[in-house]
Amino acid sequence: MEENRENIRKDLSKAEKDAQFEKEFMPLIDSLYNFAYRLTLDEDDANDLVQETYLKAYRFFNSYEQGTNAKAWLFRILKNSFINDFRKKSKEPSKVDYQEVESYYNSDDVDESITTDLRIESLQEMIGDEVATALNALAVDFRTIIILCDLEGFTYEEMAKILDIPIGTVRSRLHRARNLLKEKLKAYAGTMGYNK
Amino acid sequence: MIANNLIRMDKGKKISECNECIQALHLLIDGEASSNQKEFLEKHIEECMPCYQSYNLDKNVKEIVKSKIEKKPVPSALIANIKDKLNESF
Ligand SMILES: [Zn+2]
Repeated sequence: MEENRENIRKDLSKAEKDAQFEKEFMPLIDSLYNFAYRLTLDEDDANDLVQETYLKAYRFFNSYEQGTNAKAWLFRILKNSFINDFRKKSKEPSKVDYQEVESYYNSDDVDESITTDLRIESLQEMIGDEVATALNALAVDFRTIIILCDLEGFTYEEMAKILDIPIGTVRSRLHRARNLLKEKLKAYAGTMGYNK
Repeated sequence: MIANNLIRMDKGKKISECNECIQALHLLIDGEASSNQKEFLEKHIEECMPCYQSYNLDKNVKEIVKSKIEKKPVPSALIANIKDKLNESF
């Protein structure tokens, strides 16, 4: 992003551009589709969101620096599309006001001890659908940061860029998200009789 | 051995160390700790059972999210649809 290599790009023919686009971006469709699905929780919406992401990526290909972090770049486009186009019309019931979410992160009085009696054995007995249900029950901002970090393995710095937030906020949001996830997992383990 | 170390630790120091540890444990789990932080955290969880348990639980939660949540297969038509749209639009 610091270096300006756009001049090189201008000389590309359409065929060359298409070939690069195909080579760098199409292999990432699997991760993008799964991210879109985990955000929208709907297969059709995920489909639309991924299509839109690729169309935007093609349109803005000139601002992408070849050989840099293609995955983070596409994830950022997808997340912005989701916020701008999908979140507005989505019927997600657990939508949390952003202001409210931020004040959550910034409060220091979060009770750390609530979740300590979640047993590792209970976690290990859970099946994938149960873990997914717990994750899906989180407000979208918390869900997103766990997906980016734990499922996709992005670094804090990459997440800060994808989400347009400072690294400090990445850290506090992740911390809060994990505590909330443990609460959901624990509640789930309780109803399923895992936590005996 | 853990118990002995706990007794040797000054109580006030222990509480502030634990707070520091809990706030920073994610750095260790996510591989984001600096070498100083890593040294402090690893030493602390070796000596402090409650913090070790927090670490172990969080590490397991991370691993379980990663290993248990199933990947959804990309719909077969999606790639073709994207290519069609790109050809139409550009
Ligand atoms: Zn401790």
